[in-house]
Amino acid sequence: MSDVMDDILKIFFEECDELLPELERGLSELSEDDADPETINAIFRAVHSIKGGAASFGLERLVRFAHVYESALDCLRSGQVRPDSATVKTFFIAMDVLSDLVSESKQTGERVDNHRVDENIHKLEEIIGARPEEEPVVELEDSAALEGFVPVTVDLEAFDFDDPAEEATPLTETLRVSFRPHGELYERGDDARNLLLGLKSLLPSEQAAAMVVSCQQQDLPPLADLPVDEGCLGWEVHLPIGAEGPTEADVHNVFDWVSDVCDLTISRGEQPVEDEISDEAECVAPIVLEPDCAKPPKEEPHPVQPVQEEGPSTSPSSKQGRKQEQHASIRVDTGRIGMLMDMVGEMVIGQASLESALSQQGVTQDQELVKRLAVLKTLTRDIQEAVMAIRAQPVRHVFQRMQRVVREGSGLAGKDVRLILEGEETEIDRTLIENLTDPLTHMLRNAIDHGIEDKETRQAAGKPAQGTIRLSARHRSGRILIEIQDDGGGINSQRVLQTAIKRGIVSAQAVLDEHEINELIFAPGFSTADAVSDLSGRGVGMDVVRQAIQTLGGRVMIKSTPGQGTLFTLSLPLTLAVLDGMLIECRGAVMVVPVSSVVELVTVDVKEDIYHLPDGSHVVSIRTRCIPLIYLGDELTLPQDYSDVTGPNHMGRAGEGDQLMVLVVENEAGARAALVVDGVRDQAQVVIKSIEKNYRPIKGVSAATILGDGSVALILDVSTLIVSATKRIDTRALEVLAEHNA
Amino acid sequence: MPVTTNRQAPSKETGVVAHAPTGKEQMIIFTVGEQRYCIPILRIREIREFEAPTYLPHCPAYVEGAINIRGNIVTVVNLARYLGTEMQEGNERRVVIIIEDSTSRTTCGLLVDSVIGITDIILDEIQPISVDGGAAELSGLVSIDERVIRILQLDTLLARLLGANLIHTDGVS
Amino acid sequence: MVDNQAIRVLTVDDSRTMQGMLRKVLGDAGYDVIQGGDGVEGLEALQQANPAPQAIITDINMPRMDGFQFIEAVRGIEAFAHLPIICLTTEIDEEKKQRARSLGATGWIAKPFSAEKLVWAIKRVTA
Repeated sequence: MSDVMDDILKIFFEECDELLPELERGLSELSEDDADPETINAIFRAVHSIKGGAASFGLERLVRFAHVYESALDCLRSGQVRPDSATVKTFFIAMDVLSDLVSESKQTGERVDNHRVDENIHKLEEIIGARPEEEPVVELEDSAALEGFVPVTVDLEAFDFDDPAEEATPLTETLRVSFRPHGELYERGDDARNLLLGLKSLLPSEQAAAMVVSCQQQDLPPLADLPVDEGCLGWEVHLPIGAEGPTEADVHNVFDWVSDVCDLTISRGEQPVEDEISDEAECVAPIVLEPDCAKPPKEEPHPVQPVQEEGPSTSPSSKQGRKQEQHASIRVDTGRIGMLMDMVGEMVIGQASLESALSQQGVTQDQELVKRLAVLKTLTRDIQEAVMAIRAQPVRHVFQRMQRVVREGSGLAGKDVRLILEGEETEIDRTLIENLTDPLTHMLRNAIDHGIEDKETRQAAGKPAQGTIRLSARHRSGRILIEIQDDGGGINSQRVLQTAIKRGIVSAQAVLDEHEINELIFAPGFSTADAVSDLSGRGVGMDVVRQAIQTLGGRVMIKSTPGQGTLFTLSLPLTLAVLDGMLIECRGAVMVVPVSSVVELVTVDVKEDIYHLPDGSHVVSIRTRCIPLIYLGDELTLPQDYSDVTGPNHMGRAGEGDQLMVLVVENEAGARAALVVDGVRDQAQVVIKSIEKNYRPIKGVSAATILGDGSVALILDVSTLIVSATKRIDTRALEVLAEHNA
Repeated sequence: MPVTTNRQAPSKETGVVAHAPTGKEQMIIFTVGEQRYCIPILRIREIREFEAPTYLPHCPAYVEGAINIRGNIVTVVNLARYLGTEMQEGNERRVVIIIEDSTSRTTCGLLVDSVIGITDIILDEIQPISVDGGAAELSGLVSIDERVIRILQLDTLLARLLGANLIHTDGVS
Repeated sequence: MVDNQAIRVLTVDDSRTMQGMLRKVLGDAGYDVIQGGDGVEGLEALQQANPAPQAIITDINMPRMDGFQFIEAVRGIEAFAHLPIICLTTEIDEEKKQRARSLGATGWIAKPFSAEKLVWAIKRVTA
């Protein structure tokens, strides 16, 4: 295939990626009492377009399935089938198959099992078969329709429309074609000349001259009486018939379209075959097959509601609500947006450096200058936000994919679970969206597997047999909150604790409150399922989920109410491009700590507050709570010569004696650590730059940024720092200390 | 056929237009300590003055740190330490050669003592270096005016920077 | 192909795949192709195009304004009352075909289409 065709194929797959979510959305809006014709149309159109495109590329398996799917949807569209829950469910499952067949064609997915395809085709056919009293028709319609859809691959490479037909064969017979166009034919923009050319094209080019045309003028009235809008001329054409035709059918083909506005007679040899073209003669799969059988359901809706049946009306008043989303849009390569984002980042840095340079020169006393600088600053921020908005996408894309996860998950677990989506239009950076799919999938599987109880348990507890999971998204104070709430039994703390003890995650003596126990499910290597289930026990635990969310700069929180369910809250930044950071100094190096993880900045007394544990680590007591102490300079192996300060552990500046400045930080799990720092500068929004693009990952560092003076500053990975510090410390020693302090 | 480098052409610094005649490759020659080395000119993005980089935690000894090049974080490698030699004493004119991998776009800076110039190296004249296992720092030797010039194997260097086949020095016990 | 050079064809289809195919097929056949993503865009393109297209190929099932409404609208504009309109659609319903016909469409081709047939049809109606 040519590059152009490859490109078009790519467009096709891109289009599928847009149509499938569209289909899913439509299906989820469908319910028995609210069968909005516009929604049904959108659903139909999605499958229809996939079929149409697939057929052009000869993707037979996809076409075959899409076709049956479309036929079933057509029954819905024509009102013959009601969108009851069973039907909608079948459509959903068929959508999954369709989606997998697209992946298969795209060669990004495995080959879809034939049995699965056939099984679903059968289910769809049952829907088609459920139409009132049309059972025998169905079969015929289907096979005939399928025949009409033998994929014709458009071979563009070899394409040549002047291709001479097969070699000449001796003439044996002629086909006599008489036709007389009605006036209407001309009104439609057609012409007898077109028909003659059409007939001529039936002949191999070297025989074209053998076509004899005569004009029949016998009906032509005197000029004075000539009706201007009527056809008065008839034409008779003799076509030589070769071994390859043309046949009567070929001629009918030429006249197919004009059959209602043109009289036609075809005869072979001397035996005229009277053939007043009926409309049914050529058309594909007419459904009228049993004339005795009245079919009001099929026919009635059509003339009555033509507009609803085929599409939205042209009147703007009927296009409310969702239709308004159709703003004009253009497609932009994401690489370009990335570039723009980078440049805006540069601009932010440039603006900051201008500001710092001016303030160093003391020019900031100039009120006028300060005012103009402020304008520039606001503008820069606005531009940054605008660019980020370009990258933002509604979470809908990832949310809707979760419907399938729940469908499949509940099927596997043998539970009836309903997923309710809220706030799908909430916008979030596309990078985040891409990375949310896996954690959400896992959390939902978990909720189905461990959260929602089985039917019997639910009923015994007086709950509806069907479990409900609510997946919602909303913005809150510059972050996005995603909640996954199930109405299951909540977390069984005792069981969690036992498991954690059994797995050696906590010591048997540990005294933990309810919240701390719940947090244990995020511990690496934790899994409450005694037998690894099909669903969530896929070697991934909640620790991986938390890890993934943290990588995105987010937090996971958990809240469980026994008997009523569990609520997981994900708090995510709106973008991965910038971060609110606190600039700290350590051994002369400036580093950034995400503001979101900073608890407080305190000064502690070296002699009073710091304890040396036997294993060589240190803890600091802050308001009776013992926190692991991290000497940041040592932890990050910062060279001494970067600082004018001395001392192996950098226990404070010379002259300040035994006071130490510590920054208390907290990770997502609520674990804390105290970072020993030289000083804290200020807070700033920093542009996140990848280190790993040109270097390997660095433990304790998540990324870097560029400061106003153009130098590079590292952004600390607080979570990893805390974990590694906590691991070094025997928690029991901490408990002893705590008791001692108390 | 004149070949232009994709971005900041090195010609700006050196005043020489790059050519790539058959069997020849244009190389830039520089010194590290007492030795001369060279790398293909097409790999070079720019040459800049040495400025103090930001230290990268747990980095190998040959990594000087990171600098900002037009918004990208680029690692600077101390070539002397990488190659196991010493830099010239008291050299105030050290420069950083910024190189880029044409396919992966991985960028890094090479801290060298000085850049000598550009020369055409006839590929046939390159003597390969036998390697006893492991990736080599050098890809070959070539003699110019009776001086041996070592050809730096950049792919090895970049792979090491990205952490490939490396014994991790990260874990602080 | 030279004789097709100046002939401009408007294609109206909501499927970008189909638009791509049509652009390729008709472009290769030497036609000047302009496109619209639905009836509304098709109408806009038609009214703004200079020179005006000499034929229209339209899909039937489209959002906003479907093929039927589009044909009706085109026929309602005096300048285009006789402009050839070919429906290119996967619809197989005879009623739809008749409806398009009664609204004044010039031709009907079922998808998937062969390049030959499409070009032949365009040639026929623009001859």
